[in-house]
Amino acid sequence: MPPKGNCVTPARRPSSNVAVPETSPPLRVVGAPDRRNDWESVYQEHVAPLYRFVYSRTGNTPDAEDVTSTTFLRALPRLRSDVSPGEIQAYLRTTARSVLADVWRQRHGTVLMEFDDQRDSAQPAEQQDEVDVSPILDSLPANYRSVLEFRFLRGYSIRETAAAMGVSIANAKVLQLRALRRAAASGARDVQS
Amino acid sequence: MSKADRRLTRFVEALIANRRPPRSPADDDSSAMQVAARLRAAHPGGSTPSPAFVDKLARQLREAADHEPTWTEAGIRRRRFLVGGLATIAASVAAGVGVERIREVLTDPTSGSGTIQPYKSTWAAVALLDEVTTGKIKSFSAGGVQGVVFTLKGEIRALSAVCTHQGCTLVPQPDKSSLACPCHPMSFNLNGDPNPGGDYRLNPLPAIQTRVNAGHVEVLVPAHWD
Repeated sequence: MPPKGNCVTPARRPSSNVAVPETSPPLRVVGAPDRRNDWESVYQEHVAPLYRFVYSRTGNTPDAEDVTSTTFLRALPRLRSDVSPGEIQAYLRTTARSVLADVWRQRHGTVLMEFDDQRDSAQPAEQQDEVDVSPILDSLPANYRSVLEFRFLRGYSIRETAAAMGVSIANAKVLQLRALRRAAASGARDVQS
Repeated sequence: MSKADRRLTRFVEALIANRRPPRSPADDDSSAMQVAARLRAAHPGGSTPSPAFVDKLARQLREAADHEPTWTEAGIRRRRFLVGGLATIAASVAAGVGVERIREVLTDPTSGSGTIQPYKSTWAAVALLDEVTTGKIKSFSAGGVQGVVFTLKGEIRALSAVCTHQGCTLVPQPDKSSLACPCHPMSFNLNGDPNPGGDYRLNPLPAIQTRVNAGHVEVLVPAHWD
C-alpha cells in the first residue's frame, strides 16, 4: 500500500543512533531504585522482632519458626520498602496474628482469646515483644505462682517441682493445671473490667 | 484426672520439651493453653531465632521473590493492574493492606492527557507550510516545549515529542506515521496514542495548539517569564 498523498518525500530512515534494539532491558518505574535487595533488608530488620512476637504466643520453637515463615512469605510480596518501618511491623504483626489464629483453630478448634490482643494494643508496640508475665503471676496465690515459675520459667520436671515445693507429685500435677486455669480466668476478667 | 486435665497436661509437657503441642480440642482450656504458651515463652534464652532458621527462611524468600514480579522490575505491569482494579484497591484498604498501593495509584502519571495550556503563552513559528505537507513530520523546540508538527487528515497538528514513559525525546518516523521512542521499543501514532504491541500502558502525548500565519506554522508555547 503506497503512502498517503502524493507529495511524499522519500521515506527517511531515522538516523542510526535512534535504532531501537530488539532486546531492550525490562522497563522500570521512573525513580524506582532496584528493589531486588530491598526485601532482604526489610527481612533482616524485622525477622528477630517478629520471631519474638510469635514465640511469645506459641511458647515453642517449631511453631514459632513455622508461623514466622508463613508470615514473611505471605506479607513480604505485599510490602514495599518506602513504607515506614512502623507500618511494616504493624502489617507483619497483623499477618502473624492471622496465621496464629489459623494454626490454633486447626489444632484446637477454638478461637484465640481476644483479651490477648486487646492487651497488646494497649501497649506501645516496642514493648510487645518483651515477654513480661509478671502481671499474670502477680495476680495468683503464692503456691500457684510458685508452681508456674518452677515449671515454665525454670523448666523443672513435675518431680523436681514437687520436691522444690515440698508437695507430692500428684499434688504438683494438679496444682499446675489449677494455676493455669486461674491465671486464664483472671486475665480474661482484667480485660472485661 | 479428667480428660480435659490430661489434654492440658500433654499441652504443658510439649511446651516444656520445646515441642509442637499435639492436636486436641481445647474446649474450655483455650485460654489456659495460651497462658501456658506465654509463660513458657518467658523462660530465659528462648526467644531469639536460630541463625540456621534465619538463613533458611531468607533462602525461601529469595526463591519466592524470583517468581514474584512485584519485588523486581514489574512496576509498570503492576501499575496497569492497579489502575484497572479500583475495587481491588478498596478491598485491600479495608483489609489494611493498602498503604503502598494507594500511593502508587496517586502517583500514576497524568501528564500525557489533553492539550498543553501554558499559564502564559505565545505563538511561535516553528515550520514553513511546505515542511509539514502530508507525509512529513517536522520536529521543533520552542518555549521549552519539544514537539512535532505535521498534517493529519488535512489538518495541521502538533504533539509533544516527549515520551510519557521516561521522558526520552521521540523520533519522527514519517514512513510509519509514528513517533518512536529511542529508549524502549515503543511508539506513538499521530493521534498521540501509544501504538499497541508493547507491554506498557502509557498515557497519550499531549497535543499542542497550532495555527497558520503568513506561510508559517505556529504553535502555542509558554511565553518567557521575565
